[in-house]
Amino acid sequence: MRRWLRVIPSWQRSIATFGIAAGMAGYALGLGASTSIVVFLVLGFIMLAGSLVGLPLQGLGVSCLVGGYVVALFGSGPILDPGAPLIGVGAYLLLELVYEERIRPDWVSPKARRSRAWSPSALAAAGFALSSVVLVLGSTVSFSGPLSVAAGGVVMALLLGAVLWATRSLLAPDQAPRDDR
Amino acid sequence: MQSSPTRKLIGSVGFVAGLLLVALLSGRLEVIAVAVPTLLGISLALAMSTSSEITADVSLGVDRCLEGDEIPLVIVVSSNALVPEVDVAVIVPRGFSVVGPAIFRVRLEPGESVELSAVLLAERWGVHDLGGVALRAWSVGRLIVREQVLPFIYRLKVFPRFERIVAGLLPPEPQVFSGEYVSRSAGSGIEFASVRQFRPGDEIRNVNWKVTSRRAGMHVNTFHPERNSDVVLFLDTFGDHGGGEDAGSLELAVRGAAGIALHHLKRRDRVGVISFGGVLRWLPVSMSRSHVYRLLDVLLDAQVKFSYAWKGIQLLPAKTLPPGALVVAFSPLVDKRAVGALQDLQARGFSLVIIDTLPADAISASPGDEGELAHRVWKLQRDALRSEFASKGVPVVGWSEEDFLDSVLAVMRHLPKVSRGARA
Repeated sequence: MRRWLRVIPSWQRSIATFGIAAGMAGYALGLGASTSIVVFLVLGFIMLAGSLVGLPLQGLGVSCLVGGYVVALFGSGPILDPGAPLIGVGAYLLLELVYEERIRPDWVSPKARRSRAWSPSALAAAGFALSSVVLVLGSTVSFSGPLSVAAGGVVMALLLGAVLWATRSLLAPDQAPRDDR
Repeated sequence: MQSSPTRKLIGSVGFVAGLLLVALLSGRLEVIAVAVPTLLGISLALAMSTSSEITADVSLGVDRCLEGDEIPLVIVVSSNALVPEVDVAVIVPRGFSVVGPAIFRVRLEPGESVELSAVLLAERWGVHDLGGVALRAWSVGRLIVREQVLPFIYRLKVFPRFERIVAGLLPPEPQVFSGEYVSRSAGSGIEFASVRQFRPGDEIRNVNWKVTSRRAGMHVNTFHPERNSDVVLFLDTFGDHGGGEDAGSLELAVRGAAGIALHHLKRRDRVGVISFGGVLRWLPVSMSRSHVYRLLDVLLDAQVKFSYAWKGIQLLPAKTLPPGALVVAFSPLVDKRAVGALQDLQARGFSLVIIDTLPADAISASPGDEGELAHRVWKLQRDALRSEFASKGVPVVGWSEEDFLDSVLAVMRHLPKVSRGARA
């Protein structure tokens, strides 16, 4: 049977976005309240609101919210924060929510709807688990000194390089360019 | 297919890169933990994305329809690889709109076909080429989007919505074939004409015995024969005036001409068409069943075309304008060439009826005193032109979309008989 469904209606998306953002802001303010944190969070909310009305500020809005958390983290001292995976999952879900498509389909097949609904949830759960593992493993191994920073930089550069390489390979044209000679 | 990264991919990669840089500079493990879910999402989504070839077949249930009809359209989409989300949209040409969903989103499994149904509404008559199917395939996580337009050529004929005509016009000069009009001449028929004296060769069954018993000689009844007529539809296609939300003059002309043509063909009249504009087209009079389709094809092809080549009606084949034909002209009476051609037809002795498809109130005056004055002058000129035709025995009536053509034709149902000897 044909069903007139959309994946997530716009008003539910807005509520979910601001709910997650409010949770992240509350957690950041719980770590420590300062003017710079509040400025970051307010900027983040403004940008998220702008992105919901069509302005291209999605990534900046999420970055500002996470920036508020990072500033609060620096102010909280050297104690390891166990809530970081939650913030990470929140940021991932926010990115999923705010990058809304401009053209909405009139009809979505149930298979596509289920697929779309499940894949971010599964990835969020997997991300939370992996983030927790990273946090636990990272806390047990002590890295210090310029060599470890350099090694970390190389690892991160490799990670980003892999992402960019995968993107580039996916964006390669399907057919070989025509030889006009 | 043309691939491009979505803004989501660019934003997410920037977000992760920024966090990793901050983690590197600050040495805080939590910042990496924050970046991990997004990094995992990007990595897995890119790893699961594969190149795919999507095909789409489109089929229509009909190849011709009436204006205002709904046309079912079936799109079958398939792919050789898994595509989590594909947006399918029909490129709707001008003159059509989509009833119900226009953009579909489906998930394609490898080798599986998905059948989608759309409904097109034919809003304007004419011959239309349907454009194609636009596909937008999203990769897993909507990080990469691939767009493609699959063209398909499907020519659809949309016939105009016919004006229903019940009474129509009575052609003043019947022709030789049998039809539904009572001829003024005597002959074999049903309609009683008069009584006259018996002549050798008269049929006994026509003897009027009552009159014969009262008079000296035998008398017989005479009858009027039922004849058909020739109707030529003259379409002025030099321009399409008026319009806007309402139908333009050309659209009205085509609708009206189609209605009159079907009405007369049902009455066994011979009907022909002259499309007189930048391109001169004609169809000689005929009454066969297949002639309906030929006639509709000519009407469908009636459109405003600019041409430097000047062709007058003197170039028309003689069969196109048979002597004694009734010429029904649809014209906005704006172009001098069309007006000249109509005057030429009147001068040749044809029974001519002009249906003005641009009523004076259809064009409003431009703002300002000068615009008002120009509009009044224009209306006076049109009134003078109509009076000129009327003084020569050519009735001119205005017809707008709000009026029924049948009620407009009723005004001039009984046309005056013109002098014989009309020549093409």
